[in-house]
Amino acid sequence: MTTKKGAIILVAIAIILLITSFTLMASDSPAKTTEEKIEESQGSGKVGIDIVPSKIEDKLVEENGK
Amino acid sequence: MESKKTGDITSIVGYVAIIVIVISLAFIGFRITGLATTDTATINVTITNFTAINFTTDFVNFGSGSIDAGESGATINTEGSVTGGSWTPVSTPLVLENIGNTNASINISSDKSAADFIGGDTPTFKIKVGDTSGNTGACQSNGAATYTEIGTSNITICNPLQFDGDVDEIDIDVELYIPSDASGSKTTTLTAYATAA
Repeated sequence: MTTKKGAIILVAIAIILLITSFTLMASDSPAKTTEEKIEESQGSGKVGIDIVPSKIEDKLVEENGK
Repeated sequence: MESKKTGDITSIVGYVAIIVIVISLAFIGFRITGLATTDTATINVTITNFTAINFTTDFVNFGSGSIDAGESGATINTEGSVTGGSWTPVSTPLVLENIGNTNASINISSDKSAADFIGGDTPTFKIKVGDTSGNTGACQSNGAATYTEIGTSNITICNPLQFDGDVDEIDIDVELYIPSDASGSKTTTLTAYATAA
């Protein structure tokens, strides 16, 4: 009976120590680093121009219009 | 007999438990010894590589003008040159800046072809890329070091455009050939696309 009791105590201690060692191992696992990437972007610009018919063209239009 | 068998099993369980205890203690002992002699800290870092560009000068307005009498067309650009027309010289190019934290490959295209933008007979629409003053070396491998036709297809102008604060800006000069039969108010949009390089 005493032997049985001793074995139970030993098993209990073994389980506790096993859990402790696993916990320690897990807490010392490598730290995670995160890397985020935004790899694309776009922007826009405008080009504007106003093309006025030259005076000689205006005169031709006027003459053709008459 | 039965009692002896039970006693043997109990003994085996006991020995196994002792072995587990010894191994666990050894493991825990090494860990604790290690922690006591070498202090460590954990730093969680999030590194964001972001690609971003911005037109710090985003509008070139050549204003109003006409083709000189007798000319078949006029050539104007943002380097202050006007040939064959009455436009007021413009010396302000588009300026594109890499505002990200990584080098970027830059492609550019227009939403219109030269014909759709300017009109008339054989117009041309060209761009030229150069480092902005004080940003020497910003554009490595310049794909438009001389005036290059631009249309609706992407062309690679810089690969890469650097992100470093002192060398991250490029000038995009624009040159137009306006044929004498073109007229009206014209606008086009140039879109630059940046991809992490």
